[in-house]
Amino acid sequence: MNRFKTSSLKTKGTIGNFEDVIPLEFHEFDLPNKLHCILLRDKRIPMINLMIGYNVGSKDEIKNKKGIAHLFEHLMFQGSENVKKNGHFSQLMKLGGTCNAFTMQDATVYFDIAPSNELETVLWLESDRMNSLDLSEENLTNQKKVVIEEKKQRFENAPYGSLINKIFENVFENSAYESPVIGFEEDINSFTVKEALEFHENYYSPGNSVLILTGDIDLNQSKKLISKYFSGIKKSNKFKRNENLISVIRENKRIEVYDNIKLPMLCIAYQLPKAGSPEEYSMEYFTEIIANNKSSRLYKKLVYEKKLVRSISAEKIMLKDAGILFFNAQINPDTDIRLIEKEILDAVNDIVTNGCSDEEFGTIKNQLEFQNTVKYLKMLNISINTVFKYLYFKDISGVSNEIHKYMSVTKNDMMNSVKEFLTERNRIILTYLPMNLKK
Amino acid sequence: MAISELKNSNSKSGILDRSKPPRSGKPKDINFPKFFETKTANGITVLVIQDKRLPIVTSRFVFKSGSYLDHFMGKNKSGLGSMTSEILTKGTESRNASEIAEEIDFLGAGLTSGCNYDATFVSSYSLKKYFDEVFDILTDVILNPSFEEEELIRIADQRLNSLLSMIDDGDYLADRIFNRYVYSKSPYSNPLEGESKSIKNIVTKDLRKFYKKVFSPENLIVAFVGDISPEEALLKLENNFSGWKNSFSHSEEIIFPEFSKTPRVYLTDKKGAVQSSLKIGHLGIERSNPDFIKVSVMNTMLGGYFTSRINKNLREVNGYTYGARSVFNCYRYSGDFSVTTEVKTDITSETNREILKEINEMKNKHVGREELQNVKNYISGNFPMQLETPNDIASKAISLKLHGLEDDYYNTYIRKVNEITKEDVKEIAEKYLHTDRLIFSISGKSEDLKNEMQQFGEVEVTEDLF
Repeated sequence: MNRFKTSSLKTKGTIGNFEDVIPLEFHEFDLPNKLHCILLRDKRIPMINLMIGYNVGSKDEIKNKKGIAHLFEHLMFQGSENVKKNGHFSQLMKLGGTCNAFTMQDATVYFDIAPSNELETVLWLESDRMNSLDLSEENLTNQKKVVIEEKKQRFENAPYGSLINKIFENVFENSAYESPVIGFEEDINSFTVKEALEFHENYYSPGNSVLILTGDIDLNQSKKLISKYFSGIKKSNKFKRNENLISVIRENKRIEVYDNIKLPMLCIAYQLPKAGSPEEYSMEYFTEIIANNKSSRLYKKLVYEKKLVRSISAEKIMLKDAGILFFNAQINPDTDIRLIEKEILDAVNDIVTNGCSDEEFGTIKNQLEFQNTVKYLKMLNISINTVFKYLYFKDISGVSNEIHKYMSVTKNDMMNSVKEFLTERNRIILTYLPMNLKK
Repeated sequence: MAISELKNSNSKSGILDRSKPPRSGKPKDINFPKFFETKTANGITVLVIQDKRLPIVTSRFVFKSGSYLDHFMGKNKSGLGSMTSEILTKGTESRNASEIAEEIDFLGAGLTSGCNYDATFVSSYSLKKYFDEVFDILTDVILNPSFEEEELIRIADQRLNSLLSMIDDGDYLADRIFNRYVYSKSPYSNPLEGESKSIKNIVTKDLRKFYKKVFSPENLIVAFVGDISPEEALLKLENNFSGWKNSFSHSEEIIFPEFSKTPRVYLTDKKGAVQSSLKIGHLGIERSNPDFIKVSVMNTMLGGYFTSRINKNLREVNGYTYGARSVFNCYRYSGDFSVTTEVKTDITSETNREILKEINEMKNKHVGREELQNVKNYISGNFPMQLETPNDIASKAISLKLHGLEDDYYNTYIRKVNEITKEDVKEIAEKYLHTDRLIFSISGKSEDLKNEMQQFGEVEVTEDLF
């Protein structure tokens, strides 16, 4: 067969010679009731995306009421003064739209996607449930059941389902980030209609939220309509905040969990500083060099060469007031889990002591350039990034210029971050073991 | 910005009457974007979806045969297509697996390969400035794979360990057993990823055989997407692939699956389960079935979106579950219909009964005018979201070619959705929903469920776990 041969090239690519991505043209303004609004016009398809971010999450919950912020997210679909139970969903869907919401430690976010000729209805729906809530006992009871099934499905019945909650519980022991967003069954069941209404009055106020409208919009008309539907909303703004946000990890903490699994899992987690700190960017180089790429150090050694683990990853979670970096390895049946622990810790120490090669560092720089170019292909990604930037920093300039922060990291920055934060004192070691090994 | 102006506009309107939803504006027309299409001298179908907004180029090579063929490549060969596609990026005549990974990673690019029942694909993505290098590596893995024994063993070992872990998951178990019995003896009953006995049974000779049968220009659709013109794209293909001779012969055997004659229940035990994972259904339709759009509309109403009958019943009225959905899953030669959900063990029977009730209701009664209109609006209104990125458009264009749909399929799609009547919906439900032929695949506490499940059909507890 006459087969085409390619020249064996050895990386003709260059490093870090990135092209500026076109800046996004945001329009920002405040309504008199302090609702901050951000508009971005993007006409590629005749759709709009409305997102409301509320500055409240599980970290604002008090003892015995864990899981309330998330349960409350469900209640926002149970009806408001002029919209009946599930009316938010059904009205939007019958106009060709869709909607969803999610709750995190620091924020609760709602979004609606609809054809652009339905902008006014979307604003009407979203403003009605910011303005008022119409919650019956029956609907509250129904959603408690739904949330408890959600908890079972995602965290109890799924293999390793409790992993993320165990990481938070131990990395942030005795702090506001400690409890799982999904909460505890008893606490969920104890929530009353009265408490829900208070929660709505206190946290779901214009001054405690941000509105983001992107897509096929006319700027002037959108401003007028937003004002028409949102500026009449008045709330007390009397929210309480938990003070105790971060705690220090107890030295070299170890936790063992027995689960219905066949392959053990090893997780090594460290506490990081908050979102927006230099570590958010410098540690991105570290995690990719050490674990996530096919050409990364631990993948090559443990997955590919020695076949000791099924998978290995290193991830960051950046919260408003703190962060986490964790390694996660699913261990092959005959592998000694202690050996994997040693391999990971040795790899961390090697970077602290010897750094990395220019080629390794350049590889990640090229990858970050690609990722930071491609990430704004979807309207929803832009809105989500914008909502967090605003809720965390009250400043959205980072949405378009984040690529610069990634590109300006140096090898030294990365080594210093690793040296300072990936220490024995600042880590927990969590292992998942098959139930039949339980003594 | 103009805050004072906003204040005025607010005071002018006085107190807002929120009791009525606002009126809709005029909807905008949406047409499926035009794209470039041609065929090369050696038979490759070429599509170009040009979009210059971002300096990114994706190239997608899609071969029109997939793991459906596993069944015909010898006894116990399931997983063959998927392992063949996986090994492509693990070595060529001039590069080993690490070199491919390092070169691609260094360029900040991606090179992926995979397979489903109907197609096998290899794709690359990168910034435009690295496209030449990336395309050369992509070419190399497609034309010169080396099928090293050592790499095959590595892939097989990885898969066996993955399978061990996958069968810890109740949803996977329910799905796996469902497919096994719904598709009975047809190739779709074999899992794409393979099973332990077949994975151990695949040798490099099998990979070469699969490769030879599938990887050929006439069996290939290539889509170039992003910052690349048709001229540039054609030149790339000409340079790298024009010497590739066709070896493809159109001879795909087909085995059609048969419906179960009676309802049957298959239980799979999941240790420590706190919920039952349910997958309930039967055979459905092939992708090119002329009733496809009508079936989609009917299914959306039944369980295809959040406000569907099944989700409303099981979640919003009864609080049995976090979510429930129904789907018609369509392949080239066949398909299946299923309802899936996860519920507490002790309400498994109630859940089955409610699902049966909703299916029967769909078959026996006309749907309301408003309910039908809502679904039509939902499907047509959401359609543009499926065309948001150039790769979304490419996926649709590829599927036109892959399933032999008419060129104007997506331009007439919304019109066809809107022409459907309540009589059509009932007729389609009667034709394609069969409560007397259901397979109930349930993973959870088998012992607790065994007796009470007999009311739904003959019960079998699956013991051999792959």
